[in-house]
Amino acid sequence: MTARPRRTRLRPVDLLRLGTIGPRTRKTRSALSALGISLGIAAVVAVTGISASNQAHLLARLDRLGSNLITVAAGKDATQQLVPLPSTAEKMLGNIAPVQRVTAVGATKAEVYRNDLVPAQQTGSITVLAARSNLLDVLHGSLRSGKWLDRAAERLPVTVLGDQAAQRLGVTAAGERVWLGGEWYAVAGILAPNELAPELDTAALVGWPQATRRLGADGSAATVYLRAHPERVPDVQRVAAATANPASPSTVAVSRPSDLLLARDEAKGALTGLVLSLAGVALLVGGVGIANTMVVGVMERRGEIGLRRALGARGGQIAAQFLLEAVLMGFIGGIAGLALGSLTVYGYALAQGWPASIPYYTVSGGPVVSVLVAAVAGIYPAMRAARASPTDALRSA
Amino acid sequence: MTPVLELTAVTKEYPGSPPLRVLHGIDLTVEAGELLAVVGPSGSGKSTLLALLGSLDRPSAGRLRFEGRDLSGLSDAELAAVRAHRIGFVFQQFFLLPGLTTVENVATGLLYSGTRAAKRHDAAVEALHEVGLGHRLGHRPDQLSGGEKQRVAIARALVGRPALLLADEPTGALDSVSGMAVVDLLSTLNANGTTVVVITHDRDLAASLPRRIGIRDGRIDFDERLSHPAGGGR
Repeated sequence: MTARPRRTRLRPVDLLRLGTIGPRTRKTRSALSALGISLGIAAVVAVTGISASNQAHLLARLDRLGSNLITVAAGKDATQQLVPLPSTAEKMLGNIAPVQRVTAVGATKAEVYRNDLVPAQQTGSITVLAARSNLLDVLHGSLRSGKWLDRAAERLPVTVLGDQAAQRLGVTAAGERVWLGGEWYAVAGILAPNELAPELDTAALVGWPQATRRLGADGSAATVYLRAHPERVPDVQRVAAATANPASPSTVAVSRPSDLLLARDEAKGALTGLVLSLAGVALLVGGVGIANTMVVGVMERRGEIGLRRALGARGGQIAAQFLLEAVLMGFIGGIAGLALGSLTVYGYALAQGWPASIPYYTVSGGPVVSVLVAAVAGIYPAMRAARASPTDALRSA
Repeated sequence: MTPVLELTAVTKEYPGSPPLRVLHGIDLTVEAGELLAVVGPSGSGKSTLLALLGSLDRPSAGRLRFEGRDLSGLSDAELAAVRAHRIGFVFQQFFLLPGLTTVENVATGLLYSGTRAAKRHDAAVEALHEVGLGHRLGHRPDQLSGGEKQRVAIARALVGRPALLLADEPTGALDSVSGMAVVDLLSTLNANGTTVVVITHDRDLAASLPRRIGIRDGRIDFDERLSHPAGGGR
């Protein structure tokens, strides 16, 4: 034998099988270590998934409700006095070119009660508003029960209640009566909640002609709702205040409700970041768990390490075997965490009636991150295994 | 013919203050086809000698030739290759891997030689038949008796057809009957051409082998050959 000995080779498929020996022969321990990391991944997936599902739901709602709605309402002046919109506001706003549709509600002097026996001061914070007949249409609103004010009903003692208003009045379905402005009014319908016009949730709506005639409405609008051309919404927002009240534009409150909703959603996103960093800590703890399992495993398996060295394994091959074990545990943990987190997201979305959505980057990134964490955790134990002198390993086993 | 092992003034020291000298100037030649015992009390340096013979460790001084090659010139990776291809080990504690079947354990003996899985499997089955365990292929270590475990370990050592088989107290964990069977097996392997070095403190076992080397305090105490070894006729 004069040629230098060939270096030993370990086929990749053999290495892969070697890496499964530890997890296979120490199932419970490996499963528990993998569980640690999988909880971290599950937390990340669940948090990002629930947040994404929530956003998907909101965007779907906004899509349905339309994000081109602008509300123009009476604001307050410097002395905190409510400055009503001029009676011309509604008409003027409708004349802005990109405005496609206009509707409004007007203030009345009336209050609404369950019946004529309720003391006058117990208003339940419900406002009685005069409503244009196209209000529901322009807001893309819908009714929970009953029907909207038609041409006949808007001139009769008939009301449509907001969702909250109906609850406070104890009205469960259309057809009941309420005591409104000193008269009995029939409840024609109950509105479903509308995110774009939350103020209508606590209102009792009466037809515009009826409100003007019987409830002291002065014919001017309290809030004007505009549907603008989707790409010209900011332009309309800019001119709306001056158009509505040229005399004092600063007392007009102009807003785009869909913006408010998105802003609120982003505020929730900041909280998500906090929870996400906690999930990251869980992931780190999972990595420490794997490192611990591996260190114990290397100490227990000194005999095996010594034997493999005697059979011709190089230190690097021993290190690769143990590193692969850690990586496999991380991978299994990552996949399990992904499954667990996805189940959570789907369950939560189902319970909330949201469309379930998990960001693509967590689906692909989850297992990758857990493998990386496990690989880092496995480096030290693997190096220890590789450095163990074969004679010591055999002797102390 | 080139000797399998040739030790010239081999010394082994472990660092420390003062350094611990375990072997002092060992001169030893093992010819191909020999069957010999290294005997000595605990702490005499037997295991250290075995580690050097098996290229698991390097001498501090002196020269060690294996099949004519000076091992001091080889890198760690090359020494590993020598072990993978040319040396088989049998240990007192068997070191069978608990999760693997008998065949898989024996096939592990070829894992680091780059042999394909199918070939490893076939060679393992053959080696198991050779040690008389052809009926135990699918068993796991915990389903085997001590004697059977050691025979599996011997099959693992011989599956790569090594030039040298090193056995460290191969009967140390066995009852006398299983121990005798193991010694018989080693003798048979030797009769088929494998050089076998058995390290033991069992004087009866040593007495049954054709050559005995006594180690005491890190030096060779005696080196004797029997023309008619007691166990040779079995």
